Amino acid sequence: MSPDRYSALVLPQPKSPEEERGLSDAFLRGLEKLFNREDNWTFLRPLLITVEHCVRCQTCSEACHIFTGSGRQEIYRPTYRSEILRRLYCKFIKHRRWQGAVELDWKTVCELAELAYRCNLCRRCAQACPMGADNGLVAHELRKLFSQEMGIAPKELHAAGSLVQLRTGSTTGMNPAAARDNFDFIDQEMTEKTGISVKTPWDVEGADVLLIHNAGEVLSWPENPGAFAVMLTAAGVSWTLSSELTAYDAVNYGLWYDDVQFARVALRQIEAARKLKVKRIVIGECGHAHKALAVIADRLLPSGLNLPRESSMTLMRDLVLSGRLPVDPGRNNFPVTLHDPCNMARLMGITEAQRDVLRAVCPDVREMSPNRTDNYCCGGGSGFALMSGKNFLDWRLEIAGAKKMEQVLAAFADCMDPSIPKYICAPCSNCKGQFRDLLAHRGLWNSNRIFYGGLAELVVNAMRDVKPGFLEWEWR
Amino acid sequence: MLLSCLVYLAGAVFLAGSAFRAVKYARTPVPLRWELYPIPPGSAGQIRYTMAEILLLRGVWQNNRKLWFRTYPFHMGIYLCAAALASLAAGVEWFTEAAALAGLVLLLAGSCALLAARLFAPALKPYTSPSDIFNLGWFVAAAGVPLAAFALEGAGPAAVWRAVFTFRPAPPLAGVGVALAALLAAYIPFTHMAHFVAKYFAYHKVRWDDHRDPAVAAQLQYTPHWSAPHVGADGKKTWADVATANPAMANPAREKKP
Repeated sequence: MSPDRYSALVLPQPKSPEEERGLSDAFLRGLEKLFNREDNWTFLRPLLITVEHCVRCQTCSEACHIFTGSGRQEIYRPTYRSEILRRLYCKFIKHRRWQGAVELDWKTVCELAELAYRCNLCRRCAQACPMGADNGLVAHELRKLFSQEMGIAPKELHAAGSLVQLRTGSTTGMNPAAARDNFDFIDQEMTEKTGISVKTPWDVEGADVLLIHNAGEVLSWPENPGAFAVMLTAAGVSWTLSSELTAYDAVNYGLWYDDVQFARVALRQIEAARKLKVKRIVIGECGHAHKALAVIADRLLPSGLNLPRESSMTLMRDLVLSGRLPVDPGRNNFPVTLHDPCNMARLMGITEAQRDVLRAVCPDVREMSPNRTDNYCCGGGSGFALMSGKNFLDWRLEIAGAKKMEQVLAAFADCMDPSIPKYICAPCSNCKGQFRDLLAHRGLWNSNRIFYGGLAELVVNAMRDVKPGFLEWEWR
Repeated sequence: MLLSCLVYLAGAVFLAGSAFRAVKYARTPVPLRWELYPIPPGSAGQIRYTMAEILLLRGVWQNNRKLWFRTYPFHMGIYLCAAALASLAAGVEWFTEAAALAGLVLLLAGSCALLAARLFAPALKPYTSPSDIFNLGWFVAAAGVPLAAFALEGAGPAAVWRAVFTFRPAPPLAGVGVALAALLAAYIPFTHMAHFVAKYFAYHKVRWDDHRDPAVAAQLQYTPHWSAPHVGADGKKTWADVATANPAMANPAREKKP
């Protein structure tokens, strides 16, 4: 049922002809809704343009890190799944002949469901398309069809993801009380480690900044939200966190697979900010949360909820370049390369703020090639860094992450000696998760001392007012 | 006489069909923001980008050089033929003739090259539908027949088109060429080849459009019919109702099993 030997969804095989027919009937109903304005107003325009005008010239193929990273396997061409959808659209929606053969049966349905999760939605293919077609969007729309019509979605994104966030407040399962406990612990550790007395403020009405972290950071990389607390405290910023449902966890998995879940989470996050009467929302180091809250949610918001949303990249740039956080770049005296999260760079155009900060706090910054809006996805994008499926992790590390690892190794080619610690700066939780797994899988921490982390940690490590040695270089 | 009527009718269908497609896309609901960077700064930057795309096919040049050598002559051939037709009114015979002949040669070369790629290139062949072959074959004929008429009947494109536009007879083979071109023009807006319309919306109304749009408020009153239980659509609730509801909180037991 999977087009390759991997599985993200682990779909059960239908047990009877009725179940088989049920799958294809449900898919067909979903297909009709996908092209119906009432059901899919959110993305109908770009979807129609793509399905009706992609000429299958394959210009996008070479732009795709998954296609090239797989050794150019046909099923990973950006047009492969799109062509199946296009033919189904022509046959069943437009009733046009001569548009290429296709059969709709349960096997096609199950293959499409898996294929929708062989694309990182990084949209590098769309950037290369001379027609303006967007085959990344096709993967997104297929995911939506499966989720919103058939209830099929990776458990990590839906059952254990957005549903948990809407029920408990966070995809991690942390309720507000647990989140506060965790931040108390982080505060204590930061105070001890940096010498700066840190106390994370909660639910402060009228604060300048409502900071929303990816809550995964709290559990996996607590030094990142800790570093933010140190920076904001030291710079005297008026800031707060919110304990409202979903508003202390910036993630919004719906962005990747389900418009309804997306809207529910985004609206709650914004509503929490409105209730607190904060002046702006600042989104922590999480790429998809940036795009979800700052861009995709934008048109959903009534004017009363259209509060300013800002990237933590620009906030950090303002704090560092204005001199409010005096830094000594010499403390970061090791090679650093910057990974551009696709959601920030190609999909939002945020490319320079993080570089301004890096150049101010690190003496040895080397660019990957290509970079900025032409960057390659880390291979963990669109939720893959969270997903393991049956053997999906193998695919993510061996195929989806191959191109990025080539880039990393090229950036550090002149300093691979393990006596030189090296740092991949990835200001995004999802990307960090992928780098953690990639580096571990290839043994690059043990053999070459290639480490990964966020941007805030580098800033705090360079702060003159902080005790030296914030970065501990301990694998996790 | 009939041929002249066909040409005028085909021109009208081309314009109406293109307008219909434009209206169709314009009437699609305003989507959620879905930009793609880099976005050329300002109107001047966007015009420069668009002109480079139209006149030089810059995106293809940058990302698929092999295809550019096939598709650039094809598109330049179309542009030159269109320029030749437009120049008829100016009465500069030599320009019309030269542009038309050059355009037809380029169009024939480009369409043959694209057709060969569609038929034989391993990356393209599996994705080629019968309609692709039909469309490109039509272009080959629409460019090849007028050139054959020029060679065999001595019918220069400028003279032929001037005759057709003024309801005078054209030589037989040249007339076939005109009919093929006219019917092709009428057919294009109803196919994927009308990307000259779609690209405007793809770039200006999706990729480069970061404006808020009041039309979305009305769209939030649309009624979704998605069937998955977590959506909670019942055929009556609007998008706004569905988006502001939280069934996961209201019924956690059910939501554990999507």
